[in-house]
Amino acid sequence: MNKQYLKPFFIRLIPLFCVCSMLLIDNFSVRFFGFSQSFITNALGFIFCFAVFRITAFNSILLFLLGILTDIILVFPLGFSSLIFCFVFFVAQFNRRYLQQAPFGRQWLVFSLTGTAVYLFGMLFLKVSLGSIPHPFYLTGEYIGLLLLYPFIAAFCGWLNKKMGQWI
Amino acid sequence: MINKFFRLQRLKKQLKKLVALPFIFIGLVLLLCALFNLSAFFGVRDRILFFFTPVTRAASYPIQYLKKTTENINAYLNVFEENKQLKAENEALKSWQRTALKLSFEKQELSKLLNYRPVVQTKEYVVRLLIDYNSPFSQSVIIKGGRDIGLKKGNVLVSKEGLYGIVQSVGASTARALKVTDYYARLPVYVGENRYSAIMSGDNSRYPQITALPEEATVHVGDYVMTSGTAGVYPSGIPVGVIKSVQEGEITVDLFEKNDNLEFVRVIDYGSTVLLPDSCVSESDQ
Repeated sequence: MNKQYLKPFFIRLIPLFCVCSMLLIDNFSVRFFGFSQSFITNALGFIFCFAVFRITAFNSILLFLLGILTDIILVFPLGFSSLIFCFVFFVAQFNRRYLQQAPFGRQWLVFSLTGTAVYLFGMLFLKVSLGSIPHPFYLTGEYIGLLLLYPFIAAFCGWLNKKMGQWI
Repeated sequence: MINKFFRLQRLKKQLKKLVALPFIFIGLVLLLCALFNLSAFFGVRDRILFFFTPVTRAASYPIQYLKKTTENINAYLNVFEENKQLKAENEALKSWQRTALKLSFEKQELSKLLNYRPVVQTKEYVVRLLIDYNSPFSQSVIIKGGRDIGLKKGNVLVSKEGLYGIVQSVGASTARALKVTDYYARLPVYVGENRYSAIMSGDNSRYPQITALPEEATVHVGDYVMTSGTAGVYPSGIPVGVIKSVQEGEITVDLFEKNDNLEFVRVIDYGSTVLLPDSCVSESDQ
């Protein structure tokens, strides 16, 4: 096959690769360090960023299936991660134009609000399904970590976006 | 005509933005199914889980390898200290062995005198743990072996240290077992030398809690906890752990089996038929 066609094809897979890597890292942290109390995955930052920057790499079906796979690997209730992934994707996609033109601070704010919604939903689901929230401080720490990590993810996505613009 | 075309294009663009909504809806429906414990849903979920076992195992294999290597390095670094500890433990065990032999002999004699025949005949299998699942929603393991070797729902998982879990669903060649630390695990136990009946409730942490203790019961740190056999789901007398802390209204148990890196467990079939119906089985996986 021609290299000209192959290169863009593989480059388009980079976002998917990033999300999968994040999920693998989450899987690693669960299994190696025993961080088993988390439902917030750092892949959310990537999903949000890539949905804003490069919409071609993702679509809802792919994210839905990725969510199902996450639920199976991390033993979340089936549909939990799919719902979260699709919700984050939907928010980013719906405000894409605005987010692309807005300064980074606002982008971060929108992500923070989305993250808060996900966090609250997860807490609510834990409360409804288990009757209590097992480790609220740990989950809050995870949530704050996700928000603080976002600038780095955004910087990486921005850099990648520029490069991809050059490549494609 | 041109206006119509542009309007159509705009509508298409707007619809494209909403394409994630049906998937959000499907996710919500799946979650509601999990929330309301639809047994058919859990059957499908477990089948998917069993199907994806090789993928999940492949994903966790490098981690297991790394974990084992780290453990080996740690063991090598602490070899002298561990040796000292083992020697002390060995001395204590020798004394216990003498007591155990004496008791075993006494038991045999008394059984003969009473013409006692054990009611429960057990079958045992040694199985490999394939995947250890820890999440805020569930604490379970996938084991190698299912209907092919005769595993049944309700079989008890015991490690060399103590009770580990109970088989919840059985597939063709794999089975899923709930750990005693799972949020929904409720285990009738005896606590201490006075054998106070209580319930050990998992809370997804390493240290399950003791609840439903009689009011007059006095529990101390270090008291033994073992299964009582009440309700007939678990057999009696399996060691579970020791009391770790007794604070106001909260008693926690330090389990004997705390190894996250177990490779093999014994599955014991006590012939228990007093299990919950299928519809209740997968409650733990919400």
